[in-house]
Amino acid sequence: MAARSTTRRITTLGLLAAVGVSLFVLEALIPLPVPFLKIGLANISTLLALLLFDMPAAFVVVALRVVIGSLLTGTLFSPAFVMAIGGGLASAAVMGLARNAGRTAFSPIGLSVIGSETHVIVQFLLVSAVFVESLALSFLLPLLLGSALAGGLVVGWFSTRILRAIEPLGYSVEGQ
Amino acid sequence: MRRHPVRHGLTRADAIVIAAVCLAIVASAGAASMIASTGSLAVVEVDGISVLTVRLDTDAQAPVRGAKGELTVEVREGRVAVVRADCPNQVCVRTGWRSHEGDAIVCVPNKTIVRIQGQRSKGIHGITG
Repeated sequence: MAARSTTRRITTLGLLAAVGVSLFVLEALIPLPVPFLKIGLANISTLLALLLFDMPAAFVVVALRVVIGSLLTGTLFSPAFVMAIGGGLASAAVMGLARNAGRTAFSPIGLSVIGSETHVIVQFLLVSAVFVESLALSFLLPLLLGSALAGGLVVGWFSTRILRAIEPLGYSVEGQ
Repeated sequence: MRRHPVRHGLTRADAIVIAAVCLAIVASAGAASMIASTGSLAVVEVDGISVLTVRLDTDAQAPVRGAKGELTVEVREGRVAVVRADCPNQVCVRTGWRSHEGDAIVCVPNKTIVRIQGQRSKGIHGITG
């Protein structure tokens, strides 16, 4: 349905970006013991853009979300911004490739876990390449991978619920 | 493209991904604990002053002049021990071989401490969200 209606594509992507920004800002407000442990709820908007449309749509949603979200949280062009945009785009790309590789092989939950793991791995590589020596950081790797798994499952579950809820509105997932 | 209702539950590919992630978590935890536990330097201090630093990756033996008498510090197979000491209780000798970062061998009469340290700088310099 995606390609058939440009208006619908634009409006839906705008909505998804807005939802992504809200979740991004909301999550930035939740105090956590360690800043890099987050559920990644904003990834719901990326995943929905990918499933309802295609990979370019997911990129657009990630870019809008991170730029506008960083403006609102005051982290634009800071290291946190680099982390967010790098992790977000890589995660959208790998989720997109996984989906294209097998249209029905992965459920939204599987795609979400792939996305969240890509996100933390890319951020880990960025941090160890730019900011800290990798050895000291490697103690965090199990923690990061574990929290990404948990976050990915949560995001996937929410996305499945949302997809089911919006199906009567004419939003369908191709090949899913 | 045919349209299907949103799939319920996990697929086979999902299960494989989740299993692989669990495996990666266990493997990285194992690797991290191995890095964490093995020190790379032994520092010998007498009366609070560092008198000798030896690497744990090369076997060596060195005499150390303590406050009361002489001690022999030996490094073998990545571990360090005080193998002989001029002191009455021989607590340091009986402490045996140590290899973990943060471990220490202490000889009170000689005011001597052998500390095991990591080589890298510890701690995290900055965290971003």
